[in-house]
Amino acid sequence: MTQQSLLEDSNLHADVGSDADSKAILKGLNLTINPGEVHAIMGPNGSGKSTLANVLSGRPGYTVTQGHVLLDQEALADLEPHERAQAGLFLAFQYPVEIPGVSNMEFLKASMDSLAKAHNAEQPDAAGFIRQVRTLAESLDLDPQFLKRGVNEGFSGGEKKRNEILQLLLLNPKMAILDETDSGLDIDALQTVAEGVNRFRNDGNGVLLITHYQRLLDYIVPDFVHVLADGQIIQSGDKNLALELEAKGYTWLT
Amino acid sequence: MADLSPLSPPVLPDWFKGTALASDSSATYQQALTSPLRKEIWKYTPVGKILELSTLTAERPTLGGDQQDGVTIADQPDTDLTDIFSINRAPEAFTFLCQQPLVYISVAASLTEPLHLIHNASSWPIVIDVAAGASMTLTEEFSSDLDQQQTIWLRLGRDAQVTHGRNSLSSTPNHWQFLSVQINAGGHYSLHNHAVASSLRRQDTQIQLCGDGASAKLCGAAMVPQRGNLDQQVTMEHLSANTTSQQTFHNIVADRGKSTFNGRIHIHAGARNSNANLSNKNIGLGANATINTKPELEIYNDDVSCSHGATIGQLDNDQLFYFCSRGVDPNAARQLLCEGFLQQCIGGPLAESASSGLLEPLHGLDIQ
Repeated sequence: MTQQSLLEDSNLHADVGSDADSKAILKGLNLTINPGEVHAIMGPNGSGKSTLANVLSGRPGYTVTQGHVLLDQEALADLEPHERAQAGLFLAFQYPVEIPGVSNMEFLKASMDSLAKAHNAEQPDAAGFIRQVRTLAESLDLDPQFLKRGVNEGFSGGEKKRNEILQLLLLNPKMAILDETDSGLDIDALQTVAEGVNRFRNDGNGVLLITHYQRLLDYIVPDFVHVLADGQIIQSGDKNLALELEAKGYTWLT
Repeated sequence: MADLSPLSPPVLPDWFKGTALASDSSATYQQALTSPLRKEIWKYTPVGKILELSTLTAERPTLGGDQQDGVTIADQPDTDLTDIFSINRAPEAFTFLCQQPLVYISVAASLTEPLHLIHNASSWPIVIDVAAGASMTLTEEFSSDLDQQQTIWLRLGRDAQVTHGRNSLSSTPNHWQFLSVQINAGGHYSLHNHAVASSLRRQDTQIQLCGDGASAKLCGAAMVPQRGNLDQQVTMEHLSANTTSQQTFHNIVADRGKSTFNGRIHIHAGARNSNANLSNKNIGLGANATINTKPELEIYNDDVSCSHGATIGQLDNDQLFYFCSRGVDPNAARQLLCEGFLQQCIGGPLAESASSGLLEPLHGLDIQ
């Protein structure tokens, strides 16, 4: 039996910007992620890594001009950003947004309730939910006090990234995209974040790690490593490719 | 152009006679009526409309917490109050003060329970005189949906502390609220002002930091529904050295609603080492929302630190996308963002009812 892919990008072309001055960034990207797989995408600055994350999550300002993306056999193009999340896609932001006035707990509850509603599931009861979130926060070395504060408001870089991982573990999507979650982290925070991602991994879900550096891959061992350059995947391999890139840089490939 | 025709000169009440103010009240009064400042504060609301409200029958407000030790209520002051009634700053409120009975509330010691003021209609002028070193919490709410007005004069003695929560959530068609606060040395006044606009809700707030080290903190959250009109005029005067003021006002204006915010900080010549900041942020929820905002600084002293700023905008797209990326549909996300924007300025003793009252008009709005 053929295994059904979780995420399938076929000949994906995408532009960033408005019609008048749009710029082609992705130029025929092919990528298939099956359940249980962790894929890492590496590449030089400007190669299109973050654009890929934004296109997949449906961020306004990005336009798919050719090709298609399937999430668990469903065409992403037909779905609004919130519907993509409801269909099981999760993006851990490179720069998590601050929302003063909305507490973390309210934000998480609104997210959980929306997903439950979309799946006609029962919304989590308030007390159980709070316990679950507090336990998760503690497991990620986040002071539970932070749950009362505005979303990411005044958080350090490391706290913001750990908050993304908390959301990943809480919302438990089918397909997680981590956009440079390792940037700006010290070693301790990197290990905590990596441990969270490893806890998330299972045979049924998929992870797409976007990163500049091999270091993260010491802690989250990928099944596949791809090199993105000028909007296309120009090389794929296993975890050893990342080590090679670390030693030689990207120029030997481009 | 606002109607600035002169009012009839006030006839001073008996308890006023013989005071310093009585001797030159007429001249000061005439001067106040023609001052450029007065033109400015009545630019967006016709003064005539407000003066009509002062002819309505007024009554004593309902008081709560007035039986506790330290509180005395009287019909006239037992002390010379003329320094707190500034004719030149508020000729309209002063006229009203002279025409009506007075509710004089003396707070001689720190209060353990809040003092509640409930306005059931237009209220008689109210003076709250807080003794040196006393601290208290004051709440103000409105029970009636009729046209009305209130004038309140608050004086904080040396090192006195007052926390004031005011929820103007009633759907009173035309409402004028005048508040004057005089803060003496070392005193601290904190206002949590929550308002939902009606056909016309006009709020005049005049704060005078009179003594060394006096400070004030004003937080305002307001919701202007469709066809609502809110006019907020705030004057913060730093009259003495080492005074501090901090003001944050967040307003949301629905389509076809109108809000006006005029925040003036005036640092007088002797107010060295003063620190003042003011921020007014507005979100318009439709192409036909009208928002006027003018933060203003007038400084007559080099040794000060001041900042002021105002923004008018729409909901932040990055915040909206962050919500949506977690599965929340855009309309619900916009609601939550509006709530969060107001929540930043909701606080104090009436915070809970303020949240529900302010956020209620948001529900059911198709926010774009």
